[in-house]
Amino acid sequence: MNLLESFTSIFLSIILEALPFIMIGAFISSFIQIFVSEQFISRIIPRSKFSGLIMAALIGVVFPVCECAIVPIMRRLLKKGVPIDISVTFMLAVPIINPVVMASTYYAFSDLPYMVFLRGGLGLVGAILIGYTIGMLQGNKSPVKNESHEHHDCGCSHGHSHGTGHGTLHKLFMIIGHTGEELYDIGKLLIIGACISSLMQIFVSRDLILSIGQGSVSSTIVMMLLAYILSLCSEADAFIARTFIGQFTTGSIAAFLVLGPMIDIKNTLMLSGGFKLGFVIKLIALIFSICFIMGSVINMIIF
Amino acid sequence: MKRLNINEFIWFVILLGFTFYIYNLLSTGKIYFFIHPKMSGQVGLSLYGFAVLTLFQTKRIFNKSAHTGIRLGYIIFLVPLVLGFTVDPQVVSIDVAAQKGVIIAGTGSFKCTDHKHESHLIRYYSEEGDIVVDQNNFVSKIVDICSDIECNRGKNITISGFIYRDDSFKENEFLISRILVSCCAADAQVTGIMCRTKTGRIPVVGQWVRVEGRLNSIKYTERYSGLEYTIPQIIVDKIEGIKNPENKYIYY
Repeated sequence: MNLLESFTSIFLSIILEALPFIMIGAFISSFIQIFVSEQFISRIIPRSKFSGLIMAALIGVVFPVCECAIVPIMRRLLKKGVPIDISVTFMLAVPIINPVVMASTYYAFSDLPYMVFLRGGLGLVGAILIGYTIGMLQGNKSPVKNESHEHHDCGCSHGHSHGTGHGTLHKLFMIIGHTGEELYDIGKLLIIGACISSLMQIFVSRDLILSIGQGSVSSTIVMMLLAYILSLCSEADAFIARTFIGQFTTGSIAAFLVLGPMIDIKNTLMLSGGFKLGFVIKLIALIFSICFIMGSVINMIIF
Repeated sequence: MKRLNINEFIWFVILLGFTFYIYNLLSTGKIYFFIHPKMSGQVGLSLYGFAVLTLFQTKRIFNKSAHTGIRLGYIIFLVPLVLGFTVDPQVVSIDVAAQKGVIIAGTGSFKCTDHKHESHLIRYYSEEGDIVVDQNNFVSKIVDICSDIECNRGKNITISGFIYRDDSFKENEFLISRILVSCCAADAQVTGIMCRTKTGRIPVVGQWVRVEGRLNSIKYTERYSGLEYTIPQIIVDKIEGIKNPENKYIYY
């Protein structure tokens, strides 16, 4: 009984905490769908690949969205014609390079302020590297699932061709309709992810994690897996990470802080709703490898 | 006569359910069993979102259906709703919180510093003498105590919380602790200050008590890392049982 109550608390708290952000994400995505044209997007994306990636990685500074909200937005941008490497870099960097997340990292590591720079710097570099690599691997193949008809019927009788001229009110209705459908698509996967994560949190003991996580290589792997399993909001994960200071190497804590916002159980499920399985697996493998390499480099530099 | 579209109707019921559930949590204050009060604004936002979506959904209940059969995805949304309405919200159990971390005052980010602070706050305590830790100042008092451990040594302290100990503790040692939430219940951790009794009789883990004693400092070696810290310790004069508090969490 005690376990059921603890499970319910953690499960519902992850959902309650994520829902507002999923809603914002769904709303922004619907807004882009209806108001932002493909032509506009192709006009604002820089010609040079390099500056495009840098720009995508830095948008987070003025776009404080955490990792729950970013998935629907990124999917929409991709459908609107944003190149894959830029979309992925954008999705991975925004939840890290974000004033709210940076501030909470600073509070959590108030005695080790360099963790803020470590997290921001590695997040930036990692997101660009991963975005660039996945762009090369994927080539011109579309990573998005073929949709026969993903949504239920819209009530506003516009079908799915948003071409004809309508009033503002009608556009608003279209946005609300889309937001509801995105909420359904993303929400169900969030709930499954929250469920798996809460089960793990109840049954995997910290002593087990600590006892297998000694040593530089294994500690990095354990911390990355932990970030993946816990599925914490990137605004809160620093407070958990700080409890591992001294018990795990600095590099492995940095890997935890960078990997968590990029990918976790709930994001994997949310991604798998809209993207081909092969692409999702490739992306996760890349994120893990790059974060592992970065963590190990830090381990070599500072203990 | 329009026919009821069963799929749209179920989605309407789910949206209405979430609207009502979140409204109920916010109006009764039970939301604080799940998330840090600083996040309640965002939860309020999702309440408005659900209300708008529910209203909008009423238009669709009688739409012609293009689907045959019921969409299975709805079942997933029913799980949190059913749990939310049937399981009485409780805080995360001490065992589960301890798995995520046990923070002992004086270690990790609560590391003690020895240098003399000129801070106004510390001065205030030095003059005042006795330290009284209550529901609202648990974390800030612990930070203060740790920030000038030598200066606080020998002071009388009164503090309440629950008893926590594990097998790494000495026989007469325990933590007076609270469950600390920094964002939501998923990051709840046990946070406490080390105590030592002279008699060695300690109430069971999880028992809520008020402790009176004197502050001391000791050397403490962390179990896995082997790092050594100077941590504050309360030499206990008196332990008395108290009622469980309304809200067992503290927020930081």
